[in-house]
Amino acid sequence: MSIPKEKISDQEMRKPEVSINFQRLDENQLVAYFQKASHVEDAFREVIRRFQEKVYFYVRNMLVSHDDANDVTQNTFIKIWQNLSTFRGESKLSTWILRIASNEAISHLRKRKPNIDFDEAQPEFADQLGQDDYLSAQGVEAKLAKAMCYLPYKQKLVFVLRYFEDLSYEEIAELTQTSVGALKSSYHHAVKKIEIYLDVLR
Amino acid sequence: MDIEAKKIKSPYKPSSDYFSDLAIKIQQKAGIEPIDLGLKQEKVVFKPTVKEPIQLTVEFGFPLTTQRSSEPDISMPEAPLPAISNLPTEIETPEEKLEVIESKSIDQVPGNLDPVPGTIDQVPSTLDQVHELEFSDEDLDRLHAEMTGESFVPAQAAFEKDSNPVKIQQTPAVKVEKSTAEISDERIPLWAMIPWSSLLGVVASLFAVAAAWFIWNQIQKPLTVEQRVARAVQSAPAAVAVNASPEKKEIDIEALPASHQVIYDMIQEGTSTNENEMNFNQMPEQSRISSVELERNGLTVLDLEDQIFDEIEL
Repeated sequence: MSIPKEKISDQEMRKPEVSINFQRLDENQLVAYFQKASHVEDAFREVIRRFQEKVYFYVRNMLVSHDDANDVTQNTFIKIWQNLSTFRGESKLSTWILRIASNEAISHLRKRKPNIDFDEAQPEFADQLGQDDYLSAQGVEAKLAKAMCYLPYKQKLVFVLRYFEDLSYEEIAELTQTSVGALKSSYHHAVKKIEIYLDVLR
Repeated sequence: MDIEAKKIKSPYKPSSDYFSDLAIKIQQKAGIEPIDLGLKQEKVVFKPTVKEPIQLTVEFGFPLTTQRSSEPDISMPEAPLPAISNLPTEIETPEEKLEVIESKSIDQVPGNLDPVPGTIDQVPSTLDQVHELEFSDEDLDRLHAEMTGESFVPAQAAFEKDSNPVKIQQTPAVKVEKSTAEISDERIPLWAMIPWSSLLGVVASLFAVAAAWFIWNQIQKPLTVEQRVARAVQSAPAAVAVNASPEKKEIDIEALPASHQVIYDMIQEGTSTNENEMNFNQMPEQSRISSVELERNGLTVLDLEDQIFDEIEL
């Protein structure tokens, strides 16, 4: 799905620099400033401001550990900074950023364990839940986080993108390069498993 | 537990300064000048404030406040009761007060009676002059007619007396004879004369009768066993005629398998393994009569079954 970009005319680009409120720009206008050398840093700061929390919580839901999420979030934004000028606007900016974050999370896990089996490694994440000071072990939120640790990695990925990030199946399909039907089935199974787990943990 | 009906939030809550620090770290790693992006999470704390009561009115020297304590103020000392001797003997009547009020003349009323400038706008008089924004009566009537669709009649025309306001040609009255068929058509049919509410009542009453009959049948006494049997016998279909004597079927012996052929021979010959069994058909007539008498008295049983079948062990 290509998003039409608002082209900034040369006249506008040659205008004397005026302080631009990047917070008021929509996504297309922000992407347009990625190409402008004089404003690319401000545009990048705006990207950090808008997507930092989103990326952190997405990676945290996947990796559980705060330290891992911290590292992966920073690496994600460094990757974004390096590839900002190459972003063509063919997909949504958020989808593009989350895709980078997903790849960075996988790379991070592989760096720790080169021959890691993602599905078998999930229950290990459940042990890390107790180490978080900002997590209540009794709440249903903590139980949900623990239940997610027993899902296969790809099922967990689909569940997090759909349940927490509210992405549509089409956006998730674009991100994961999977069919919509397979995603729906995967999400449905993930929800059932989690509900059973939560009922058992009552 | 339906997690989609009631969405569960993420359980992770980093510190309030985490994201602002993270943003600065990212900018430093990217090699750009780090600027605080204002990402500190402000903690919203609700502090209950005590507001002073608002003084609404002053009546008889006591301020009426919004807050009134339910408990009586015990700390206040009791007001001293005035002595009877100190009470005034003369009590002013309201009439005297009125007299006092009436004696006052308007000229003596003090105070600035000059009107406050700019507060009241003087409305121009429209008794004789028609303001440019005002509509005349005729205009109002025309507007009203346009809005309601009625025909506009000028006010003056209504007062004109015309001897012949309605100018039509008066034709002599013509008698119109209606045929009987037309007259009958004009009559309302019988079914239309019946009001629909009564029809509904008839239907409802029929339904009630049917329901009552059904309920009456259901609450009747249960039938006795004999009555049930009698009913069943009456309603039972005709009993199937049982063939007491099975017809002898001519069986092709050669079509039977070998084992069946042997049994068939035994059946045809009437041989049995039991030597004690009496062959009733081969008995003389007197023996037959005697064996029947013995069976009637329960002294013997005429076993007529084939011995080729084993006894069923119950």
